[in-house]
Amino acid sequence: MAEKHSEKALESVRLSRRSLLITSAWLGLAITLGGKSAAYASSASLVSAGKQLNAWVHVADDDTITLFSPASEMGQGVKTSIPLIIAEEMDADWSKVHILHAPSDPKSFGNPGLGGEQATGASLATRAYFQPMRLIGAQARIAILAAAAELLKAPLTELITASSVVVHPSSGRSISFGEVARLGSFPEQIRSAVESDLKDPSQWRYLGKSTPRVDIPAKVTGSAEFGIDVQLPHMLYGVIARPQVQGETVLSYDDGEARLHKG
Amino acid sequence: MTSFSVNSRQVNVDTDPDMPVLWVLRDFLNLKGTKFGCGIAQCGACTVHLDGEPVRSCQLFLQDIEGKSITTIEGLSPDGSHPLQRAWVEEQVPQCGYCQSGQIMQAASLLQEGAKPTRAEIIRHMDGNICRCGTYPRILKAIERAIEEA
Repeated sequence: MAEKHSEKALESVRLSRRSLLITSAWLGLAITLGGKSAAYASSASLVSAGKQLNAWVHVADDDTITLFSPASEMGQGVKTSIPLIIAEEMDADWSKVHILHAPSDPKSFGNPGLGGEQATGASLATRAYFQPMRLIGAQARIAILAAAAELLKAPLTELITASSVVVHPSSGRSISFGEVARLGSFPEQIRSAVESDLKDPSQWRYLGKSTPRVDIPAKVTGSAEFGIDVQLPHMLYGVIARPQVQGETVLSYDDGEARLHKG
Repeated sequence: MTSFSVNSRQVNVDTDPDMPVLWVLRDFLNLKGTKFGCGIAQCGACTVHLDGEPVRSCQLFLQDIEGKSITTIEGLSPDGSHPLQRAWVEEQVPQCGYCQSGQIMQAASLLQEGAKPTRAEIIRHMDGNICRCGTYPRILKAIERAIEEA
């Protein structure tokens, strides 16, 4: 019950040859427990204790789930949709999810549809990350279930997850993801998820439905930060000197000062 | 030295009297919500309120606002609770979001007591605020919704 999903239903998910190639390219990138990237360590907002399940997923003691969004949000919605895929297969409660922009770390967050480059374009974010994110979410769920089985002293196969809670239906006991993160033990390497670990689409709670975008509230209060808003210490500004009249050419310029500087 | 109020706070700014208010707000007062789009009052991204009325701050100068009151997107509400902001979220209006501060500030003057503008009047009023992402249909829906709910 816990980890089995209908093989027949999976056949109905039409995997194009291209998406299979994307999936296998992705699986070439190792997903290890403990996380490969220094992203979490450098992320100031992750102050609460908890467990980092893989490079993408952190579960805090207070039940907050932090997910990374790998692609640039430009209004196309990926800051919401890509983490949503992880949350779906992880069986997380979306209201407990906090999203961070992934730092520049192509090994951990690169786009398999762009040869592993961490870039956003060609309408390839949601499409190329879709299956890999499902597997990432499923891997997190696998890790939580294994740790919960130990904590509840119940067989793994008798456990189910439901919206950030692990439940043992036959005894009526349950434990939240946060409690599992706090109390559970996680091995150095949890196994990667495979197709059969994934939910049947008919079981999706979030995918296929509209979810309010997480970037919108800041965009209606003027607090969303754009490139032009960034201010760094000792910032200088470069402006192109343009002629007043079309067709004019440069007569001379003095680059002596500039040449003294490296680059 | 020019004294004026911004979002109900008295401030003094000492710089070139020809400085557009857009840059006074962004660079001297660190209010980044008001955006630069064109600098020639053709796009509406820089819209703020001057004594309650929407103006393009890229063509409003520091020397013109002595003793006046400016409201920016940050001052529309303390917490995003202005009827327009709530409608903007409910209708999921923004895409990239860059023009939206200006759109909302321009729309705010449509929400005066008892005002019931027609769709054509709303469009004429919002005509000077352009959106490259094309969120216009949702902007209209959100404005009509806010007028209904206000």
